Amino acid sequence: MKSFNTELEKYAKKTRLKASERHELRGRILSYMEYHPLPKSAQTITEAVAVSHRQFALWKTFYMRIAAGAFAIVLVVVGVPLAAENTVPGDILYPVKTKLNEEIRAQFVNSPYEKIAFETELMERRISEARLLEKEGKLSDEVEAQIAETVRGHATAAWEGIAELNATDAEEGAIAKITFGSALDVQSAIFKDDGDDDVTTGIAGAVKAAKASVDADRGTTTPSYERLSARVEFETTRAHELASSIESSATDEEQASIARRLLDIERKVKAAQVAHAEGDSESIGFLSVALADIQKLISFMTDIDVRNNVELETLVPVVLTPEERIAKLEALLPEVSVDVVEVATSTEMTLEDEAVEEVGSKFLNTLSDYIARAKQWLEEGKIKEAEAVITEAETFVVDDTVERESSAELESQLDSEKEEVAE
Amino acid sequence: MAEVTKQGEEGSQEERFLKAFDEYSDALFRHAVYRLSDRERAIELVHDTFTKVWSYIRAGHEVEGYKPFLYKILNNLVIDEYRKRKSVSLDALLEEEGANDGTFEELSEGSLEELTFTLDAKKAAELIKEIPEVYREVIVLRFIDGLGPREISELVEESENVVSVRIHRGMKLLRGRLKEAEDSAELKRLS
Repeated sequence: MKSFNTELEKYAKKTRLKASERHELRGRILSYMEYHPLPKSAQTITEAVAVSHRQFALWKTFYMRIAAGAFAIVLVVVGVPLAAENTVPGDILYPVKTKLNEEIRAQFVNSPYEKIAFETELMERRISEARLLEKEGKLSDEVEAQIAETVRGHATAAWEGIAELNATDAEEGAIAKITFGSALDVQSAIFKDDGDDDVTTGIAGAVKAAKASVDADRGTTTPSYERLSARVEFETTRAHELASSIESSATDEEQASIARRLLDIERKVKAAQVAHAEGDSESIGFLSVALADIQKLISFMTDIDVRNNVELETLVPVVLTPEERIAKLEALLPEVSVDVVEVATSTEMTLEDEAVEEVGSKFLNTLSDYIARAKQWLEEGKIKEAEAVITEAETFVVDDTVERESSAELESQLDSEKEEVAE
Repeated sequence: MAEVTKQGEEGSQEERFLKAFDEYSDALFRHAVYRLSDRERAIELVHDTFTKVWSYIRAGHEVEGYKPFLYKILNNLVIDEYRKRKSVSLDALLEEEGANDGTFEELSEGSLEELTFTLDAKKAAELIKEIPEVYREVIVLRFIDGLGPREISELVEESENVVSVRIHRGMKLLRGRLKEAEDSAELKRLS
């Protein structure tokens, strides 16, 4: 019975949608969803209160009083917390921000993942408050110690949240660890820029300690490709939305810089997809890096404090494409060839000059050969192979330059020694 | 914050829906092909199944388990398709094939194990398309889709006993068809 079932199921499984059919069907369903979107918000049914004209007249004054009272309540309930949002430690309304606003927000945190994100956000808020105080010259040692303690508390809460999540859903825990790690990377980069890199006390110390715990634990659990891929897709969409929303306020240069990072991230995701299709476990590593980069880019776009204190290049360095790397190598060719030609055409050529010419020509030939091979791989669409050749060429250029420089240094040393002896 | 949560839920609902598509589209397509013997039409029915589910979600309903729900809708669409194709009703079809609800006695005549043991899976899969719809429905659900008798009984809204009897009769019919096919092949070979 079992073997019949298995055989029949196995045979039947040959009947399936072709990839093109599935793709087309998915596209049709997606466009159906697009044209028939879910309602934006749940319809709240407000009961129509039928009040007769006479009743209205009777209750008019009463309603007016209620309205005035309600207005006052709204002012207190909405206005005060709103005003409190921009406060820093020491302000009268600061407790409203931390004890009321943030406590209320905490009530809306539903999942362990959201809890970790919320604790991370609180940690970032405290740090940026401290920076603001520092800028105004109001950050006393005592206040900094207090804030550092709070930062440590939020970091610990986030870390404990990750540990809890790991116990129930290790994959989600691993993803949370990546995002928490990126937040700490961003803060560490700012402290590094401030020259607080070696500090072990205060806020910088608290961030450093938290980062050390995350770094020590990095890679112990890995999420599945599918889960990670879904999260990357979600965050990439968010990053694109943010990028288009700041179009009006950001300069052309900033926009280009953000767009470049988004392209780099897309390339990383594509590399991950190729690796995954080939059954390469590296795909998860690629996606993890992409997710961390997206998080840092989002921090840069959303947090003015981050934007003002650190360069985007420090957070998410530009990753050159194979074509750009080849162009960089090609740029070296004319420089060296000019030297070689100059030496070769000089009328009084010494033995040393001949040696220089030989070394230069060898360098040119080897580099040209590398470039030709890399281009060939690229033409064939074999990016991995092309990148390997480019890396080899880059190492060759660096080694060769070091070698030439050191030999030049040695020569000049010898020359000066000779001169000394002569004197 | 409330709005963000709302959007988050909305997003997850879309994600769940698309995940269900990725997970079950092949299985649903297979089911439809075996029921209708028409590849193009099968794709259309899978499409209609998902758009119907989406409309259901849009109306504010929550889908708890996608698998049974999708099968239920597809099954209804297949039945509609049959009604369109043939002007006879399903009841008439049942009568024509002499399919009453069946009894336990019938089940014990020859166990399902015995019946299935002798069937060649590959040939049986081809012949499924030739047996009457009332049996094909349960045979496809049982052996192609791998659903249990209870799940099938909920889907076709019949008791588990009726479902078991139909599966049993369907297998018997399949064996008959298979024997016929083998005999005629043998005859051809001899002549």
